[in-house]
Amino acid sequence: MPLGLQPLEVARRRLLALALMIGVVVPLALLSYALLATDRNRAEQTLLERNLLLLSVSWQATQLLQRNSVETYFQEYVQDDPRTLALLRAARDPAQTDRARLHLLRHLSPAYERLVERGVRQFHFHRPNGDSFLRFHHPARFGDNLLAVRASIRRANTDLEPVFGFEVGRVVSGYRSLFPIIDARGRHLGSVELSLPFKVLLDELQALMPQHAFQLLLLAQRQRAILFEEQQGLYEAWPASDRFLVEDPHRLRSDSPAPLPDSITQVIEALGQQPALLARLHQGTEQAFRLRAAGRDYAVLQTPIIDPADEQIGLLLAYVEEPGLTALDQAFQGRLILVGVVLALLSLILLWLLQALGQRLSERNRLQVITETLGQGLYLTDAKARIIRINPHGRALLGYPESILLGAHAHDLFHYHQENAFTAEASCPILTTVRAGREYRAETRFRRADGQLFDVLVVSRPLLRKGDYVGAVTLFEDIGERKQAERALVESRQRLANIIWGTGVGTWEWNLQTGETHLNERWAEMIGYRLEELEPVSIETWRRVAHPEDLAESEAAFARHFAGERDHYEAEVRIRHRSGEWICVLDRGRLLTRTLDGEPEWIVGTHLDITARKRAELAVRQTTRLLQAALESSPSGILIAEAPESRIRFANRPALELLAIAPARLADASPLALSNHDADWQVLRPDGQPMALQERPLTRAMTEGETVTGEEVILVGVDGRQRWVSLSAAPIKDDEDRISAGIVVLADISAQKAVQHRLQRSAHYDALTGLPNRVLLTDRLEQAMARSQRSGDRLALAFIDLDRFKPVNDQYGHAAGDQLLVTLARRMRECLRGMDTLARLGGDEFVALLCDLADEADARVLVERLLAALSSEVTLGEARVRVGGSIGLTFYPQPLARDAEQLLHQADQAMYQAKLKGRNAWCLFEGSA
Amino acid sequence: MVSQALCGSLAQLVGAAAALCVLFSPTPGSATEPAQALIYAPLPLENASLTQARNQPLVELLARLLQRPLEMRLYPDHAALLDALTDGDVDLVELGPLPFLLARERMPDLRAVATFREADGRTDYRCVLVAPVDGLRALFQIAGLEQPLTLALTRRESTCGPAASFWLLAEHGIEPTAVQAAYEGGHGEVALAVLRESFMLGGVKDRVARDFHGLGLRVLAASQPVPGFVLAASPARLGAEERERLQAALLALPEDQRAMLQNGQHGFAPFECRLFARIEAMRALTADWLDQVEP
Repeated sequence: MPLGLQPLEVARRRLLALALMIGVVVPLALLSYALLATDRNRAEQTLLERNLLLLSVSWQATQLLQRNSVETYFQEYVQDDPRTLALLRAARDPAQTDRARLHLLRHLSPAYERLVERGVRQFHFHRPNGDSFLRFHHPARFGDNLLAVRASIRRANTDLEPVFGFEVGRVVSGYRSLFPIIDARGRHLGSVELSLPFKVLLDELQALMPQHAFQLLLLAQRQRAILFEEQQGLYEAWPASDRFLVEDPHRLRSDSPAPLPDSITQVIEALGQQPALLARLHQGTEQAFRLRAAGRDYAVLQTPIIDPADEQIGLLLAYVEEPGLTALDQAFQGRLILVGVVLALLSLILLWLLQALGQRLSERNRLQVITETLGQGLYLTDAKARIIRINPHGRALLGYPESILLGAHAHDLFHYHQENAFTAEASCPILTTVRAGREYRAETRFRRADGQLFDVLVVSRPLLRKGDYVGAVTLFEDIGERKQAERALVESRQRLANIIWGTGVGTWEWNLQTGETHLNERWAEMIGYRLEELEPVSIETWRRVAHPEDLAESEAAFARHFAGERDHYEAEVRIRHRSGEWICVLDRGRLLTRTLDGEPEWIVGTHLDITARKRAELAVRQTTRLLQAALESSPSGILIAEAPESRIRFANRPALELLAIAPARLADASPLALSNHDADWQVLRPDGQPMALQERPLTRAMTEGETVTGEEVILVGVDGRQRWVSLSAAPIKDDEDRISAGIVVLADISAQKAVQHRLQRSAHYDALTGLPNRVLLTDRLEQAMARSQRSGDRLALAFIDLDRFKPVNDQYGHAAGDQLLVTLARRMRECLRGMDTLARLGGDEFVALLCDLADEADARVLVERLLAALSSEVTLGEARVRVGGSIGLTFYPQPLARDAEQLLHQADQAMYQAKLKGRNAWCLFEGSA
Repeated sequence: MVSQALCGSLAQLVGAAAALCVLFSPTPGSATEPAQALIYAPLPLENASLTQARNQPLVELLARLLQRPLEMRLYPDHAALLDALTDGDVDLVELGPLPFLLARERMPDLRAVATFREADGRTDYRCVLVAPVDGLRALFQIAGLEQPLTLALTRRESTCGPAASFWLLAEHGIEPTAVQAAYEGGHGEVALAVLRESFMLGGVKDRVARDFHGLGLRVLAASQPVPGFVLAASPARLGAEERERLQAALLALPEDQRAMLQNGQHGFAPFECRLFARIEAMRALTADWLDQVEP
C-alpha cells in the first residue's frame, strides 16, 4: 500500500487544477471580449449609418434643388417659346428637318450661352424616335439614335413624363433632366435634355456637408461602351479599382470638380489595398464603412447612382474623417484594459491557490518518495509503540509482510538488545529514550522473521504534539556488512604492512577530519630519522620537511583528487633530509573514505625515493640542451629525420626558414628528400632533372648508411620558387648499430649560384642589346663550322655596319644612339630564323651567323631582309630617324680551310666593299660562293 | 484683269517658293544632351485642357521612343509658340504648314520629323471657304452684294486662316481688301459662327466643313491640297541620329500603339516639301491684307 500520492497522480492533479483555471479565465476573457466588441461594432455601425443617412438626405435634396432650376429653363426656352416649338414641329417634316435644325441652332445659341454660364453642360434636343436632333454642346454630331444607350430618352419619349437622374452619355456623364416636348395641341415633338455636370451637384452637396469630400465613380465597362471614341481619353481608372472610372481626373474640363484633398487620396490608396472593402464597393448597395489611413479614421459612405432605367451606373462616394470612430476605439480599448485587469487579478488569485495546493502535493510526494526509496528501514510507531507505517526497505530488512508489521509492537517483534531477546518493554533503550523526549542513536541488533539476528544502526526520534509523546519515527540501517568489513580490514592491514615493508616505500595515513596521522618506519628512514624521533606525527610533520614550492603543488594535487578530478593523488616532492640535503620522493595516495556528508576522511599513500632517477634525468636534460644550443646556433640548416616513418624529429631555425616550414607544421612536414610525395618541395638535380628518391642524400644516408657531403641540388617550392641548396647527410645509428635516424645539413647557395650565372652571362652577352658578344659568337661559329664540316651544310656569316649612325649619336645624344641600337638589334633579330645567331661586336657593328642553309639564295633573302629592317624609320622621342646598313657576306665551307677569325675578316672586307658601293647595300666576299 | 494679274503673281511666287523646298530636307544636327527633359509643344488650340488631353498619349509615346523624359508645354497662340521655339525652349513641336514655314524662316535649322496623317490617311488637306446652306450659294454672287462681305477666320498664323482664305478669294477674282474679316479661334468656332449667320463666309479645314455639312454648312471654294501638320524638332537637343530613330519608329508605328493615341491616331508619313511652295505663295500673296482683319 503506497504511503502517499504517486508522482503521476500529483502531476495529473496539478494539470487538472490548471485546466480548471484556464477553463474559467479563458471563457470569461472571450465572453468579455465578445460583448465589448459587439457593443463597439454596434456603436460604430450607428455612427456610420448616421453619416450615411446624412449623405442620402443631402443627395436627394441636391437633386431636387437642381431639378427645380432646370424645369425653369425648360419652360423658358422650350415649352413656352413659340419659335422653338414651331421649329420642332417643322422638323417633323423630313424635307424641313435639316433647315429646322439649322434655325434651331441659330435661335437658341444665345440661350445656350446663358445656360452654360448657369452651369448647364448639355442642351440636347431629341426627335420622338430617340434620334439626336441637335446637341448644342457638340452640334456637328446628330442623327444617332440614343434609345438603346439612354434609358432616360426612351422613357421621356414613351411615358411622355419628365425624367430626372444621373446618367452616363456618349460625351460626358451628368445629371440629366429630360422633358418630353408637347405643344399646345398635344403633339409630341420629341424631347430635350438639360444636363448638369457633377460639379454643380457637388457644389450644392458640399454646402450641405462641408466636412465631406465627394467622388463620382462610374462603372468602367458600361461607360467605356457608350462613349464617343474621342471622349475616351477624358476618363481614367479609379486608383483603387479599375472596375470604376473617374471622369476627367486631370480637370481638363472647366466644369469638372475640384481635386480631392491629399488626405483623401491617401484614403483611396488605402482602400485599394483592402480587397474586402472593394468587394463591398462592388456590391453597389448603399452602405458605409470605416477605413484607417495615414493614422486617422475615416468614414467612407457610398450610395449607388441609379440611372433612369433603374440600372446602376456608378457610385457616389463620400469621405469624411470621423473622430467618433477613434473615440469608440479608445473607449473599447479602455474597457478591454479594465476587463483584462480584473481577469488578471482573478488569474493571480487562482494561480496562488494552485501554487499552494501544488506545494502541499509536492511536499507529500517528496516525503513519500524519500520514504519509499530510502536505503534504510523506517517505521512510525504510535504512543503505544505499535507500528503504524513502515517503508518497503524496512519490511525487506525484517522479512515480515506489511500485514504483520502494521499494528505489531516493534519491541516485541524484532528488538534484540544486548542479545536479550526478552527484554521487557520498560527497559527497551529505544523506547525509554524517545519516550523521555530524546533522540536515540546507537548500534544494536534486530531479529528477522526467520530468527536471524543482524547488526543495525538505529536512530529514533520522538514525535511530540503539544509536548506530549504521541509516537516515534525510527530509522534503522543494516550495518552487518560494514561490521564484517571492519574485521576484514584489521586482518588486511597486517598483510599490507608486510608487503609495504618489502617494497621499501614509506607509508602514510591521514584523517582529514580529525587530523589523525600514521607514518611507517620507512617514511622516517628516508629523511634520516627513526619514527619515534618524529612523534607525535601529524600533517605538520610532513609540512615541515616538504619543500615550500613543492608543497603548494602537493596541496593542489590533493584538492584535485578530493574534488574527484583525479582518481588518485600524486606529486613529486622534495623533502629535506636530516643531513640538510633535499631528496625527492614520489608521493602517491588515494582517498579511502568519506564522511556521511561526503567530506574526505581517510586518505592513505606512499613515499617512494626517486632521488637517483631525478638526478639522472637532470643530467640528460642538460646534455640535450647543450646539443640543441649547438644545433640551433649553426648557420647551416640541420634537420633530423626518424626512421622508419621518416618524420622530422628536429629542425633548427635556418632549416625551417630555408624549407619554409612553420614550426607548428613540423610534425606533418615531409623530411626533405626522403619521400616521393614531398608536398613542399620538388628536388631537382643541377641539370634540372628530377632527382629520384634513391639518389637523394638523406635516402642514401638512411638506407645505405652512406655519408654524403656537399651535394648540390635545386629545390622547387610549390610557388615555383627555386633555390640552390648544398646537402650533406649522414646516418644516425642506435645502440644495436641499426640506422634509427638521419641528419641532413643544408646550405642555401642560391646567391652564390646567381653570382656565377651573372658572371657567365656578362662574359657572353652584350649588355646593351642582350645579343651574344664576340666571345659567344666565336664559340657558336666554331661549333657551326664543325657541324658544317660533318654534314656538308652551308653556313654564311654577315658582317653588318650601320650607316650614318654617328650623326644620330652626335645630334640626339648617346642615350638616343643606344635606343637606336636596341631597336635595330630587335628588328634584325626578328628578320632571322631561330637557328641563326645575331651578335654585336661593339659600337654599330653586328654579325649574323646563318646556319643550315639549303643554298646561298637563302642567305641572300635573309640579308635583303636585314637591309630593309635597318633602313626603316626609327622613332627616338620626338624625332624620327632613318639610318641604314652595309653588309658583307661570306659562306662556309670554302675550298681552302678557314678558321672563325678568317671568316669574320672575310665578311668585314665584304662589308667595306658594300660601304664603297654607296651604303645600304651588301657585298659577297669574292671566292666564298 | 485683276484675276489675270493675281494668277501671274501666283505663278511667280510658286516658282520662287519651290526653291525653298531644299531647305526643308533634314540635315545632321548637333549632339544631344540626354539628361534633361525635352519639351513638346502641341498646336495651340482654344481649349487648353482638351489640347492637353488630346496630346498626352502622344507625349508618352514620344518619350518612350526617344527614351528620354519629355514634357508637354502649352502656348496660347502661334506667336508665343514660335517665340519659344526660336528661344530654344521647345524641342518638339506640332505645326500646321504655315506656322512651320514661319518657324523655318526664324529658325532655319528646324527639322521636320514626320507628317501627321489625316483621318482619311492622306498627308495633305484642303482649306475651304464655307457658307450656310441658306446663305451665299457661290462666290460669284459676292460681286453683286450690296453689303460688305463678312468672313470668319481661325487665326492669323493658321494655314486655313487669312492665307488660304484670301488666296481663295483672290483666285475667284475677289479683292480681299473689301472683306470685313475677323478671327474666331478654332475651325469649329468658325463653322458655328457661319451657321449662326454671324458671318457670310468662313475659312476652315475641309474635314471641319464635312463635320458641319449635315448642320447646313456648304463649301463654296476649296484650295489645292496643302501639306499636312508637321512634327518638327529643334536640333539643339535632338541630334540627327535621335531624330532619324524617332522618325523610323513613328513611320513604323504598330496599329495597337496608334490606337492608344488621339492626336496622331491616324499615323505618320514621311515629310514632303513639295506642297510648301503653295503655302509660301499663299503667304506672300496675302501678306499685305493681314492687317485688315479684326483681331
